[in-house]
Amino acid sequence: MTRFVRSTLMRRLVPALAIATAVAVPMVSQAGMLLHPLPHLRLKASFPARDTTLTSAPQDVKLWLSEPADMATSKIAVKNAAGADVATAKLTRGVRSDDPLVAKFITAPGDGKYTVTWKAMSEDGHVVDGTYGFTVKLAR
Amino acid sequence: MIELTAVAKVLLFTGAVVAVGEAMLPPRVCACCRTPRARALLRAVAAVALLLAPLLWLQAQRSALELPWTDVSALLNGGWGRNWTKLLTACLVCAVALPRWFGRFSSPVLWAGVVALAIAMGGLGHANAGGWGIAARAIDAVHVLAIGAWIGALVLAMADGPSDDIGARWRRMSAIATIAAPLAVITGVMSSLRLLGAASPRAILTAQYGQMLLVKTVLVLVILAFGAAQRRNVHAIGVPSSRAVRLEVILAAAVILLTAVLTGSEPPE
Repeated sequence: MTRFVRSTLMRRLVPALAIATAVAVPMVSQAGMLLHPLPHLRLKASFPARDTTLTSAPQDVKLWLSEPADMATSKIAVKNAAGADVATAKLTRGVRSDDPLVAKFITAPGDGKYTVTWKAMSEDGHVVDGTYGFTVKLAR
Repeated sequence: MIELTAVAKVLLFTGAVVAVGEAMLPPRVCACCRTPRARALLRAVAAVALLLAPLLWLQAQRSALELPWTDVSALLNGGWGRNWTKLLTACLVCAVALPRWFGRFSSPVLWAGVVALAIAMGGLGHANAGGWGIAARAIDAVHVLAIGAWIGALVLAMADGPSDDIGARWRRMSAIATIAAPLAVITGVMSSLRLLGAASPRAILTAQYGQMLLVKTVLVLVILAFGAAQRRNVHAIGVPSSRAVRLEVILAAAVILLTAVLTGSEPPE
């Protein structure tokens, strides 16, 4: 053990770790200024909002995500209370990266409960999905 | 249920480790020596793993997105798909160069393949998200190369078995590990700092990601301790303890498994 400590630890490992520390410390201290949380793809807000009751028919479903999602593979599907698909047009997004994903209804939905199911992929390939409901009760 | 993405990553990491090890510690080249059977088998396994990994990963991603095969072009034309195509190309180059069919051109082709593979792997992971931009990708690539050089050279030196130049081979492996192991630790720390630096210690320790990273760190420290002890044996008697090397390789396999799961989960915010 003594020989191991003298030969390997003292002569080899300690200098190697000293050099590694000398390299790492300035890099890490520089990096400290650049620390930001890693972005996670999350649903920030939606229209219609979760569990709300609308008194006028929505023209579209809008999802505001915390980071840009891959448009080609993102999906928004809307089902009515019977579980039937409510037709929407192809997904669109504005030019700004924080613009919402928009799925326009082909025909504005009438009274009833609806479920929105969405799926999106972040830059690093994580696939995130979610489901929420809203109700339409048109004012007479 | 075992996630297909994790299986694909285990295959990819295993193939990459062997490929980098093969580039760092090439076999003996002389007319009288044949490539040891265990090394030839490892190369074949790594080549198959590198061919399967991107295909399984694509299938996993397609399945997660519920995309039919007819719409897979939508996935491949996006940012993820372009990075996947680069990974597939790098894997193909490594898989073709691993059996050393190109004679003396095999080593340069393999080197090109492993460097491309290390860079491409970052494109499909956490290195492609968040701050630091190209520095994050560079750190990730160096980490992959350093781990591959360290563990890959260890596995191949073990697979070569007894030979006339066994002492020289282990000394070379030891020299590679002396540089690669600290480099792997430094780049690993830097990546963790980038991913977790803004999170509180409590958030890190309560998150599954943080707990897995802690276990990985402990395992790496144990491997480092074994490596340091075996380095003494290599310099004193020419060869390390085969039992300790086997244990090191088993622990490294556990680290690979853990990393495959770790890279698929999200760090705490």
